[in-house]
Amino acid sequence: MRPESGHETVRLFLKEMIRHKWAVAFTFVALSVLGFGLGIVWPDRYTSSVTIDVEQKNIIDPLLQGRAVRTAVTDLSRNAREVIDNRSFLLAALQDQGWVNGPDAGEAARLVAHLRSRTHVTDKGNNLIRIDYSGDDPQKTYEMTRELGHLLIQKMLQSKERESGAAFNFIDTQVKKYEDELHKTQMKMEALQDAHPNTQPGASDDLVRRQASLRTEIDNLEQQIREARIQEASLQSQLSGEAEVGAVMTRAQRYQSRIADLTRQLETLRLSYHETYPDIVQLKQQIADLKDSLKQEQERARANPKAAEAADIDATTRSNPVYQKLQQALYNVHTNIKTLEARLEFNKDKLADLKKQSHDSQSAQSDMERLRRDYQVNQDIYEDLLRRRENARVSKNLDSQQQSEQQGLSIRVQEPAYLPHTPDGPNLLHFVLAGSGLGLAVPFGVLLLFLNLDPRIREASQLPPEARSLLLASLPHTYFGHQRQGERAALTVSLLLMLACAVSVGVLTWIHMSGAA
Amino acid sequence: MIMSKIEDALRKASADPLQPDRGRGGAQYGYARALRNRGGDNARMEIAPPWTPAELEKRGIIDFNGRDRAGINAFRQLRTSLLRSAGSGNFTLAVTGVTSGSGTSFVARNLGVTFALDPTKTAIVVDCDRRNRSISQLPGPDPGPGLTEYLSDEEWPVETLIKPTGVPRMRVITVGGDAEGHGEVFTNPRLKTLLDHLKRRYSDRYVIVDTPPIAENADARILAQLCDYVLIVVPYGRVSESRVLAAMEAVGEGRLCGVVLNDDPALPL
Repeated sequence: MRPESGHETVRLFLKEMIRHKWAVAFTFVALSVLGFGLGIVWPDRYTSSVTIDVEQKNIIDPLLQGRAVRTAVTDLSRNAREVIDNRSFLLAALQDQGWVNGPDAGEAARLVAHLRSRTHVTDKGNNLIRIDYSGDDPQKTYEMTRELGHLLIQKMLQSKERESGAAFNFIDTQVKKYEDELHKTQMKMEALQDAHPNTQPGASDDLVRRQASLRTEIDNLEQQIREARIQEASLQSQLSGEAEVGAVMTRAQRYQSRIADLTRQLETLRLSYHETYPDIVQLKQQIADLKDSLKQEQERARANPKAAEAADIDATTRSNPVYQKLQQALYNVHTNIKTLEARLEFNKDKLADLKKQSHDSQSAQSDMERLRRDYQVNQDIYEDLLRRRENARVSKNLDSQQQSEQQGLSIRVQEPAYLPHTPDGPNLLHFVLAGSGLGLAVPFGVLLLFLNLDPRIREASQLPPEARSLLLASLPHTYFGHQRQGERAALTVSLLLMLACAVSVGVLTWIHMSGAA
Repeated sequence: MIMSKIEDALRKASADPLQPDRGRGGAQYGYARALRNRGGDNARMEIAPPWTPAELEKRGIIDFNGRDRAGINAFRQLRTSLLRSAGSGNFTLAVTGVTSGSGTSFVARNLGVTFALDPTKTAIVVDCDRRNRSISQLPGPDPGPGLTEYLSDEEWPVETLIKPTGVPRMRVITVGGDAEGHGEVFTNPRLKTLLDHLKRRYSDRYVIVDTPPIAENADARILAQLCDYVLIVVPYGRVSESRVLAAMEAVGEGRLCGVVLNDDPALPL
């Protein structure tokens, strides 16, 4: 079909439609009746739905901010479909509804499959889950839908409770473990304390201070000892020098001091007397003698100094007060040195002792520090866990309360199941309309397709161009006699047939539907 | 109205002598022989009684006084177009179909009637379709000897071939009683002579030759060669473009004067 204008297409289409009026009419009648029949036998389907709101934000959240953690159920909403598709879930619903009583496993399996195919879960967003169930009976549909919603909530709450209970138990175990740990550490610390009483905090500082002061003292003592030794050496040398000098001095000095005395007397006498005064003369004599003796002494000393010294020392030095004084000083120095050395020794011992003590104390101290640190850490964790355990307890109580009350704080029925009054899905009217529509569309479509595919010439425009230019006339079909009337009658009858069919199907549909309603 | 009154008068005038012979082949035969004996002048030929609308309908002829204006107008338009393309003077026109059942005979006889409608013109329809002899049925149910007898018998006079019809100014030459199997009848040069004679005898006579489908039949091709013009009838919804082209090719250039689309199912409203 290649008509050049829409008008021609319509004309051609209409012509062909009239040519095949009987086929068109019978197709229409057949499909309308078929649609009506299908609509009559098609089972009614009732659908009810329940909408569940999961994790609704409510007053408990700000109240329990940071105290209790509510079990997240959003994941559950995601797998609500899986939960509902679960065989045991469906079986539980069936048993609750009393659909499954006996032990007939085959029947149960069939019912479960049936229920599964009739149940649809849709995630409507905003944590809303919608469960639809379609059944043949409105009341049963309503009850089953309610049951499904109820079971799902129960299942979710159970799951939540289980989760929060498990969390609580875990934290509780941890708390106990840390409690033990703390106790053990405390015991260890006490034992260490007993073993090292000095290991008090700051004891090591004291030790260090004491060591330092000891060291200072030792240094002082050593210094003092050194000084005393120098003093001793110096006294010793002084002492030996004094003895010699004393020995020499004693004879010569005695001569010289005698000479000096006599000289002084002489001088005094000379002031009053003449040289010839007897005393003076005598004095002069004595001085000369003394000088001789001094001279002799000096020579002897020069000739044999040691012998002279040794020979004279004991007698002379002992009697020397300086010597004796020096000797005294030397003794004192000796005593002093001895004392100092004793003290030094004592201090050194003490220092060693302190060092050892300090070392012990340090290791004990570090042990203690470690224990204390452990204790501190464990205690922190323990306290934290204690707090958490209380939070978990609140969470657990929250969930168990929800479970017992069935209308949780985080899961609730947003829109309860309802009793469906009108069947959904295609009803009789839809079938009738579809049948009638198809009854019109099928011949229409088939004819359109046929005209499009059929290469045979029906219109002047379909002629080959060579022939079209030569086309002289298009001769219409000639109706002789009553043919035209017959044709018209046939057309009228076919149209009336279609009309009658449409009307009767319409009336029957109306009667059926008003009766059903 | 005037025409129909005249026709009625003519029918009444001729009713009595013809009445006993109607419906019987022998009478027709006798009538033809009588014509032959009288010497074959067309002007002197007997006028058959006009057909009633019922008789026209029985013969598949459009009643030009009837109410089928669409058909009447279509044939009138066809006639006008043919006359225009032929220019001045009469002609022989072969009407052929693309396929059998194209309605060639329907077009040929009604075209003849259309020409005959004009009082200044006459038409003679020559039936050359040996398979579908519907034109030959026009004078009566038993047409008797016709074209094939004439072609096979050199002594056969032309005048006896031409038979009157119930349509004024329209004559018919039947195909004759010869068997279909009789081979190349139309290759006979006498056919050409006959057609020329028919055309030239009267300048107002239009010779319309009903032929079989041209692409399927050798007779049609021969006849197409013998006629001045060829008209191809394309049946509605029965042939594809290629068949039409094949038929046009079979006719050849020059002689093809037109194409008509037949049996277009008009809306019966």
